[in-house]
Amino acid sequence: MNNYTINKYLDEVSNAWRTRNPVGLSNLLSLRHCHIASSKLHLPDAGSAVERFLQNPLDEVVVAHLRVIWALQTPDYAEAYRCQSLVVQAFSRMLLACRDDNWLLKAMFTVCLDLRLLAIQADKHNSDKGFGKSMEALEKAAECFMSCFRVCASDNRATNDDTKKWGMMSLVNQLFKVYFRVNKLHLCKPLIRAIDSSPYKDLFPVSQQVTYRYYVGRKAMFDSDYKTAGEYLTYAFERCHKQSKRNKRLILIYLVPIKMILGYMPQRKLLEKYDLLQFWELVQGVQSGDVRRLNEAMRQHQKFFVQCGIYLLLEKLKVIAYRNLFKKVYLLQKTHQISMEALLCALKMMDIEDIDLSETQCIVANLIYEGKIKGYISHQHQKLVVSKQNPFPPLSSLE
Amino acid sequence: MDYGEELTAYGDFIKGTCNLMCPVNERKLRERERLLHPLERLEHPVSDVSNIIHTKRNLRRNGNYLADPNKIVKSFSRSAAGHKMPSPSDLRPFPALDMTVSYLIREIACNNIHTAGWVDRYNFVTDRLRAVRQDMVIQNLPSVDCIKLLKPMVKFHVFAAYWLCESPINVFDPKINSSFLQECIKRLLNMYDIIRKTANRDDSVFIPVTVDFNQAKKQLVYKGEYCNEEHLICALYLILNLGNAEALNQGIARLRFYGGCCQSCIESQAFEVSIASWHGNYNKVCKLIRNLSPLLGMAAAINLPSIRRHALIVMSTAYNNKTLKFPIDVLEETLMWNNQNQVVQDCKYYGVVVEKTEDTKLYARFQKETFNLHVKQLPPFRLQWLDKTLSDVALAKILADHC
Repeated sequence: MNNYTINKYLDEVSNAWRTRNPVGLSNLLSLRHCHIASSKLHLPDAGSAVERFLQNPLDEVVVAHLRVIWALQTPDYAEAYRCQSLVVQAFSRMLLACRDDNWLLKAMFTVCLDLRLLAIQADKHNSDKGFGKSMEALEKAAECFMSCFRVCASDNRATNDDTKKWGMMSLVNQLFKVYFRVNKLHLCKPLIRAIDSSPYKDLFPVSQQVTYRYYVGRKAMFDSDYKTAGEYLTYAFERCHKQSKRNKRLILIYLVPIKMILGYMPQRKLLEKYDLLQFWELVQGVQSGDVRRLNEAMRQHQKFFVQCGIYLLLEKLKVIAYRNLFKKVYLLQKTHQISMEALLCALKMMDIEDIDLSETQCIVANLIYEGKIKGYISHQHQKLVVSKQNPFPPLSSLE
Repeated sequence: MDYGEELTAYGDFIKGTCNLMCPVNERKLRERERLLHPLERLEHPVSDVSNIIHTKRNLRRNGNYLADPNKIVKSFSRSAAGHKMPSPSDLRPFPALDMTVSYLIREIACNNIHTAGWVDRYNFVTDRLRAVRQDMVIQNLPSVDCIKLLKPMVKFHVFAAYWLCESPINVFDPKINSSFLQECIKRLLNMYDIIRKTANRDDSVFIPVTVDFNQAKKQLVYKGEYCNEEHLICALYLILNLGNAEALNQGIARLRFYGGCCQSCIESQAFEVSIASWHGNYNKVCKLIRNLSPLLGMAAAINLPSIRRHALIVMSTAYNNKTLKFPIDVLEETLMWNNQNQVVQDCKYYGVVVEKTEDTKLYARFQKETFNLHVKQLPPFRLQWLDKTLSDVALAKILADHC
């Protein structure tokens, strides 16, 4: 279908507009639809032609859209990006003007998604050439999404079926993607609040909910709120479509370590299925209290863990490995009064260098403080005295 | 990217033409309006008969001082609505800014640090450095130049944060100082990022980590002078934000970037301290702080109150027993108090019971219930062992030289 003439194209747009066809309009404004291949549509300035067919404000959107197609052909990504942001801005005005109706939402999702993808391209080309701040375009794109978001969020008067509030979650997801990429997570908070207080909170389409919960879960992870993170990511993992294996894997990359910190170890089968065996050595090291093995595995897969941004999270596993190691010492010694020397000896066996009795005490003290060991330390006797009942409570039982 | 290229990339920015530390217009204005800082006045020659005549010449009829052209420095003025865009003659190009910073640090900041009057010097330098940053931003100087200007500023504010930490709030506001410090260091880290990205593409500057480890070690990834200094600044960032997840994440990414060739460098050291703090391992944190360079030590000292508070909370749970006691001198040693008095005071402040036994030794009796979680965290204090190493000369070395 790359023989679209301008007249045919504009005719279809105006048809879609008249018949209020969400899919049709969305396709005709998409940069991933076949019409963009037609060389007859590569027009830097189609203003006069478009005005004959379409009315304001749709003409603005279409003129800018055609210029994007033209710029992509050149290819001039900076210009394409600039014009796509004009598309989104004009679209948000159009959305605002279209009262008590939400059929435009579908097309809005399309132009917003395209803007984000183009912004990434533009930034990449910019930084390849060595100028511009590294993610300027993407950050600016967030402002365009916000203008659409405001239109949607403030649409209070329309009925449940017609309200533009249904567009909120998709926009929030786009914004999350931007904020995570430019590393401005603090900006997520007001968006989460907006969704949380929305009556449609749990009624948005599952696909959007999965994305939404994936990001909220990751945000909670960064705030060290592992319980919340676990809940959100679990939902995302369970409801994610089973054919989206790549997405399921992405979710697991964060869900696995969080579950481990909460005391649930993954099965090898699961890790194998999603090609995440990098975690397996960690699991084994943690489970058996083999700190050396854990450290070795961390080093071996460091690159992968750092890239995923979970290295720091995995550091927390060391604490659990210490707990398991100390539990072994306790089981071996068969006494409730474990000498610090014995614990130090165990740590040294794990190739931990430069450690002494006072640091051993410090590690134990932290474990007691976190509730992972029940008992107390006697400094005078250099002993850890553990509780007679349940001295090492299961991690999953901790608050 | 050189200056010219960067200019074309970023578009045109105004270029300053003032080659003095202070534009002539401002000097005249401040002489007229009696706005000269004591450090900027022309000193009266102390000698003989001519004294009176000189004094008369230097003092105007209304009692104004004259400015010493070698000492007066452009002061900061907030850009606000109604202000005109400064003209080129009011702005200093990089060489003049560089000279200004170096004058402020070497001649003003590094003198008389052990006197009470140093606070005045601090306020003076802080204001004038702020004006330097303003000129720098207005002219959009290239990254390499900005780095040269910002580096000493970061060090200066770190030193001040430590040195004045015991001063009352009306004399020194740690919050304001810290906001300047964070502003400088974040900008600086950004600049290094830009440089690294440029260097990444240009093989003549960037030498990739090769298989040959020793070779790579010698070449230390970059040619040029940013290397060591960049590590120091990143180390400072880690220590200033001790145990902060975001800073740590950046640190991990950077240390990975260097591969294995910087295992013993200052930045890995700082990283280790911060990781220990992330684990709540107060023992290790304090142990490692002792081995840090003086500047990093100062940055760490500012964070010690939170480390100590956390340690006492943990210990109140872990050593929670009515019959057991914990020697104060061990606490003093592990958590770096200067003397037992300080320990006792701080313990009491947080609600940890301190007792004296028959052998006159002091002990803490940790109890979970007595710890007061609601009192504010104590302010930091200076560390004797660190202060011993500091003199005017030593400070000049720390602030102005490469570490």
